[in-house]
Amino acid sequence: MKKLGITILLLACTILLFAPPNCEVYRGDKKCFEACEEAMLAIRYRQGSYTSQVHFDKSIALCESFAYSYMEKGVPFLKRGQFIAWKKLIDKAVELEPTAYLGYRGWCRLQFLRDYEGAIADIEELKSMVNYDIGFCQTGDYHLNIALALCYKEIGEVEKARALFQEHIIDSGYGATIFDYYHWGVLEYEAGNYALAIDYLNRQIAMNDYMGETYYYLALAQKEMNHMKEYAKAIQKAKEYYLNERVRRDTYTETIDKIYLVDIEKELLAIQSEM
Amino acid sequence: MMIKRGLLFVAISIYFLACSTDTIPMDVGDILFDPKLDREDFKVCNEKKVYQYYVRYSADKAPGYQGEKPALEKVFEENYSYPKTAGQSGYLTIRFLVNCHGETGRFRIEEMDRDYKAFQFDSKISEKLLEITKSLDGWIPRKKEEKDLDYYQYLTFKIRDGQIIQILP
Repeated sequence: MKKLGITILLLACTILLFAPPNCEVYRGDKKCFEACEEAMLAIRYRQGSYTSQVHFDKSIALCESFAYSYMEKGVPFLKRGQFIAWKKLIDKAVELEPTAYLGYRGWCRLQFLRDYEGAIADIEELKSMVNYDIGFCQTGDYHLNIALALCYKEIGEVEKARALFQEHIIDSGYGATIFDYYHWGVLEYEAGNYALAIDYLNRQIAMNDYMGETYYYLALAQKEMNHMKEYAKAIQKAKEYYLNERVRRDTYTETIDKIYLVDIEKELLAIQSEM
Repeated sequence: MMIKRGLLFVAISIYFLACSTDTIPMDVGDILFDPKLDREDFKVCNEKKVYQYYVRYSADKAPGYQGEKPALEKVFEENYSYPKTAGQSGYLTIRFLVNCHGETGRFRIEEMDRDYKAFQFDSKISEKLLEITKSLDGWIPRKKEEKDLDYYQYLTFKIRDGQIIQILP
């Protein structure tokens, strides 16, 4: 319970990470104070709207070192697939306030472009710059250490990924958040450690029994262990969950280790053909 | 004083917006009809309000593709081929509009290298990806209380040495 409370607090802190800045902080610098107020006007309008962007431009013109406006102006470009424009803006924000925006840029590179190497470079650089907790990704789904582990996993550096899961979830006492054991389980499944995969996927279910995806990988691992009864039960459950929309969804992108109905049905067909 | 300034700014903005709707895209990512690029017969159901592929703070049903992403990937797997070629790496994004009938139009391409700098892939790559994207016919419109809506969608192809590594988002 205490751990859950800490997790919620940390998630809340992360979600607030890019909450509007407190303009009072800039009172001593007239132009930057006005720039902050312009940014506050900008975010009152629909994100990406002409009016909102005009206010951000005005904010930047008033105070060229006001990093928040570069970052926030870039968000609609990122979400709408205009990555060149986004990158120029976020790079400027990172240049001005690296410790504030490196983790965010790294996460976006992973989430929107599967730019694993770029994300690793950003998150590792952030880690080398600070001696405090680097926090969660923008969506709140993962601690940035886990996001980093996912990047290493995706480029095939399994040992590094595993070490990060171990260090973050177990050794540091940080504990797992909502999707961590799922991905760790998938990593071990892909590495051929099926008993370990089953252990982690069951931990995921114990912690958050929501996703059909977890049962899909649990089924695959059971099959490899020749636990055919458990395999059939888990794959049926994966389908049941999927059809009841108990699956992982993200507003903007497909998530890592995503499973689709067609994958589940392929397994079910295989079972039927063996009977 | 602050409120007055704000109101004045909004009034000026509205004036300029009202004068410029035919020439300037209103929002980030808006794609206006261009007779040199776009098919005349592609009609948007409500030109005044084209939504995005993502649904935030709304009860609207998110759009998608019939058969989910694997169905879309299969179309590219079956129809795209290009010899492995060093230097043909980066990201190619095709943005377009899906109307309330699930038809597509107003395609725009953005190409960049692995460092997010503007780049031009071999035209055989970009033309083929555009051709296949135009042929996709499984788009499901965004829904608001059973009413189908127009929306902007994009596909980004992560390409290494001319090969599609991933299709995003």
